[in-house]
Amino acid sequence: MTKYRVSHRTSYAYGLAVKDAYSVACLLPRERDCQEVITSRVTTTPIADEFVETRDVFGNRIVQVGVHHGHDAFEIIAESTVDTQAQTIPATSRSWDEAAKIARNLRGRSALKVGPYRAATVASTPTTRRNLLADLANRIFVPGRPVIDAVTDLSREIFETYSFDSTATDWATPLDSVLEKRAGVCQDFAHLATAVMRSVGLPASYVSGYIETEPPPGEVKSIGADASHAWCSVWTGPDDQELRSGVLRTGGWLDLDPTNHQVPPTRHVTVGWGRDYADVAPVRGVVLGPSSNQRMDVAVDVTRLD
Amino acid sequence: MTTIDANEPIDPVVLGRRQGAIDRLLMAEGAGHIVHDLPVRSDGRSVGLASRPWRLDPLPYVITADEFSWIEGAVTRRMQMIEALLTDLYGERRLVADGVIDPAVLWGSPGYRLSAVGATSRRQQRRWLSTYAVDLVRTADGVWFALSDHTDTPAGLGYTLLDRGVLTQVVDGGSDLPRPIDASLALMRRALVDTASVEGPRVVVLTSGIDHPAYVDHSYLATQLGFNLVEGPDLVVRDSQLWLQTLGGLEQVDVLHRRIVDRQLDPLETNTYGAAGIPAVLLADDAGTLTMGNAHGTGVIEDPSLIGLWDRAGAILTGEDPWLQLRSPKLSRGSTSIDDVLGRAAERVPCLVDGRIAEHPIVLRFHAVATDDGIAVIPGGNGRVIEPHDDPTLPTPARAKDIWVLGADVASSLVAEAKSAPQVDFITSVPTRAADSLFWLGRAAERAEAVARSMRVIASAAPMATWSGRPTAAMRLLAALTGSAAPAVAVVVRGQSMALAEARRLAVESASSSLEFHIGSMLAESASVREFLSTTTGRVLGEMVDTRERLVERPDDVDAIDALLFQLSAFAGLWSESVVRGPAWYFGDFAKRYERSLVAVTSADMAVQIDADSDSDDLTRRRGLEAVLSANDSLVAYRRRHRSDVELDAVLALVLHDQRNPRSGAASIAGMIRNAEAIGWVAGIDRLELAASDLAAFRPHSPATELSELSDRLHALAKELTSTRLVAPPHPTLVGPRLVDPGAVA
Repeated sequence: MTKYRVSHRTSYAYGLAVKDAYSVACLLPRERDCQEVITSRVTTTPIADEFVETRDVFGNRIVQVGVHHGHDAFEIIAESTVDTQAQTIPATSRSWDEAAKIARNLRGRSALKVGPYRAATVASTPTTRRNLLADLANRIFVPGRPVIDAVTDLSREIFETYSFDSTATDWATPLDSVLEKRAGVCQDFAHLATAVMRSVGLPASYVSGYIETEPPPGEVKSIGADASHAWCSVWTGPDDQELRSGVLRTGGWLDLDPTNHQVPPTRHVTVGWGRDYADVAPVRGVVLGPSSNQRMDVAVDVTRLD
Repeated sequence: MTTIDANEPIDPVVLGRRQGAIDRLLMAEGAGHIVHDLPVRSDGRSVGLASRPWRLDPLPYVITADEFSWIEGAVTRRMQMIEALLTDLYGERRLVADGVIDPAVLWGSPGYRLSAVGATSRRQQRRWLSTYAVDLVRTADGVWFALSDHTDTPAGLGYTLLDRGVLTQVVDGGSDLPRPIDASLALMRRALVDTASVEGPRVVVLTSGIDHPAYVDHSYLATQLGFNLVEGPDLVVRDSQLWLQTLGGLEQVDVLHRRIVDRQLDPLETNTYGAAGIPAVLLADDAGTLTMGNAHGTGVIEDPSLIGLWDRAGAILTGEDPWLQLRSPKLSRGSTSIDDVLGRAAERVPCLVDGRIAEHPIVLRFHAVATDDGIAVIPGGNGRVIEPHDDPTLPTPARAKDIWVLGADVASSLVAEAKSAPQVDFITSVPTRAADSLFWLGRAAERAEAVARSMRVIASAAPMATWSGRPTAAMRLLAALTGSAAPAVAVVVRGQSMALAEARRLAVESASSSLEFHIGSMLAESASVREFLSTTTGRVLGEMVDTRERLVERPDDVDAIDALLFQLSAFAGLWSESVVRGPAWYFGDFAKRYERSLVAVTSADMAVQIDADSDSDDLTRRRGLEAVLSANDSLVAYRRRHRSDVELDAVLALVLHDQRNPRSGAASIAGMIRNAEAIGWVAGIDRLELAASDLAAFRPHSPATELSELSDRLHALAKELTSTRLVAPPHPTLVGPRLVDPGAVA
């Protein structure tokens, strides 16, 4: 059991005053097997004229905010405390091809719950460098290889052969250039891993959240230096207990963080998941006003509480 | 001769005459032309469109009563099937649970709007489809196939009504006239009103603007339905409600007849650039304060990656095989020629092409409308003639056919019961953007006239025996009116009598781009506010397009300039005699008077300069003053009053001070004051009156700077009016993310 307090502040300076501004935020952490949400809230400056909290189709907590009076800066802060547990690796020895076959043949509620994560979306589909993706998939997903072994190896492969480079990509870089440059950030690696797994038929989701970081040796951790983070989760088929009981609860998900090669991840706080980044972008927004030079600033703090 | 008796020989000459009449009538509607060649709008958006006037074939496509009742049944069933598909895909998703549709395919389709999942219960949505259109093809052996379903923003009913109105005017009456389709408007109104749960809902038609390829359809339909045609920036979402920004403030909108596709509707949902949609409109949709026809999400049916699934999935869901099977070129691997897509020969029908009868396949679009009383299929539609180079799925073919359904019987479902119609006074409810467009329209029309008149003075001036090479008064005035630098002194070589003609040609040519610009903005602005203008205006504008082309070709074509002046005066006549007085008109008229006052002041300034020019002899001076009067269309008035040589005092009196001369500065400012009073712009009235009395005080020997100061003051006033009353609604901007900041990630 590890308790974390997370604060995520996004500030915009619009440059010029706007009358109407709308934001959609996916910032409030959701509950999951390995995570309990103790407190969570979103506040804005200026105070929102409308504030609606809903759940999206994946079950993520979404906040929709509208400001309808003149303002030239906007800040949205999410603060939460969560209790996390180490994830356990599903106890299955089945091969990845077997898991993919089960996924393909799911029916009923399981098909609705798991099926969407087999879908190839724009962010997780290469257009010009399909061959690079196929090479990677063929190298790792050798027929008959145990699924846990294969996805762990995929995480290792990305960790070892791709370099972390925050200048190589931006939030809209297509997968093609990530494959080409063999470089990117956590978001790109999560997209890449889900793309490989989906290409062989395994359901895989893109997970948005945070990771606790350590300061360099001998230094004090500076405030606001943490970051939002992204990794992925793969469905390895129903776990043995589900199979024995005959009731499919669609357990069997395993998170993997290719950026740090952690399977399963430790020191991670989950906010939500979807098919790709676009489904769970932390904050997106539209303003009605003159176009100007906007500035955006993000500060994240992940603090361990014990 | 009736057109529809297949046994009767068709005479190409008769048809050719009929084609001519059709072309003229379509042009009279302003429909054939208004969509193309609109260069720029006042808000700076440029509109470059490929020329795409369509032609309506003089031969209708005729369907017997029996055949139509089969089509009616088939289209109704197909619409019901699609409604069932949408209900399942965004609701229970039985098709996915049962393995009929692979979730990986469905969720991988960009057309499947996740925000619409669960909508039926969340939005209290009555139905997915209020309108539906389907493209059908008949094979040579009489089997009908569906070529494509239109569920997102089914288009073409406006074209259908327009084409029908035109074609029935040119064919001779006979026993075999088509069933009327007038009832489709009442049905459409009813269908849109029925989506809402409030009594007498306010309905608007949402278009992305004049650059939308189907803008004529949107505009014609909105005008016929009597609903405001609005664009994204006209609307704003506040408190989870949708509001229309009008001159009188915000007015709540209950129903959106959207002509913008799902994936462009809400930039907040799609996180995409582009100003077509309305940010957060889905928030209002979800809150149930707004309904849409069609509902958001219906575009999924048109997604090419999914269309191959519908016939089978629909059959499983509804328990009956569709009457119409889909044969889409998007599904066929090889050739997209229509025969290959169908797997057999498509029916060929006679059409008039280049004066000859040719047989071509035709794609027929039918429309259906759903109300609380059920589905009605419109007994008519529009057909697209598929010539060998045309792709049957693209709406580009340039030749249309009106579809005639025979038989006098009107299906009972077509008699729409009138339902508490929304009572909105369109005279007073004016979207701010429309008022803005009318303002720029008024200015452009007035400026175009002044420039054209000045060009004409030069282009038709008599040759002079000798010329010093100094620009003439008319040339200088034209330069001043177009805001360009005064023409340079020409080097005149003795014995070259062409120098003056060449200088004149150059002056006219350099002004012509300004004239083209003003005509272009007239066309663009009036296209976006058609519902405020009289029907005949369309014809005038259509002719103006042609004149503009002639002038582009040859700027000093005096005939063309005359034609333009004639068209401008027709436009002005319609403006003052055929447009209902209301806020929209007052704003447009204010702009017109304002522009005219500037022209008067510029002309007076030029007259003063000419008179003060010590290098000129009397004759040159007099000619110069005459040119100013002609450019102002005041020379005749002058002659009637003075019967003498032109003198500066008298010129100024006429151009600046005479209230009885409608072109004078004084009359123009008085007009501005009248309009300011009508729209209640109290803050402006006093200052306008001050400007009027300063104008009245101007004398031939007053300092010339007084006139340019006056221009500046009038300009500041007009600017204040537009910036306080007509604030052009801002376009949405995305707040840019680099949201996953990698900074500290190991």
